[in-house]
Amino acid sequence: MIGLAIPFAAGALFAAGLLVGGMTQPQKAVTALGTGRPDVLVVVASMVAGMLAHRVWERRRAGAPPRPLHPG
Amino acid sequence: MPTTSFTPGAAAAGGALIGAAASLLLLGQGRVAGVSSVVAGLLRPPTHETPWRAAFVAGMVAMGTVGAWLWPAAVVSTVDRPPVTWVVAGLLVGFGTRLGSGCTSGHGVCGLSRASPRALVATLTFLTTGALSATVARWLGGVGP
Repeated sequence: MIGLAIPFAAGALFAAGLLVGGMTQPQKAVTALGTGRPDVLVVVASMVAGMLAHRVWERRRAGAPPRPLHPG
Repeated sequence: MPTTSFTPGAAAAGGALIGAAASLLLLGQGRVAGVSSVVAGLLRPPTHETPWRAAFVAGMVAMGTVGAWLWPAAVVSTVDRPPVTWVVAGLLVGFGTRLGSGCTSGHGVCGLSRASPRALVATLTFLTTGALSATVARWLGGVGP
């Protein structure tokens, strides 16, 4: 648990920097996720969808068949 | 904090905090604070890397929640766009950050500070593309900051 304190603190510090100094994508979306704002949720969901789409595309490029996104 | 405002003091303070966060994660955990890569790692099946990634994202969300409560102006969106643009933008950001193996934090903050040529190319590319996109969007439809 103590080991997780460092990444948690780093994440909090990172977000504090974004809040103080202005934000950029995709850090802005992740930092604002806790507000529950619909626009933020849509952006984060789309971002995740884009990341998953890249995984599928990468596997197809490599010649491997697309794997289910949620195996099991 | 509108991203288009010229606030050098706040920008310097924010940059220092981000730099301190990246240093903390690198020195304390031995990992690079690339937000898109951290999030993308959480989308894969759990490994020994998952807990620290989850803790980092939890820290960001927690601070964002507290910041929004204490200082609502910090997370107010200054860009008024139809929802379809949020979806398109999100998809492009998600796909593009995976294609480029990083985003503004991984390449721009951590990569440049480690003098990585790959990060330099990536940063120059997305900064140039972003500036061109904003300029073209302004010309075409009057959108943009």
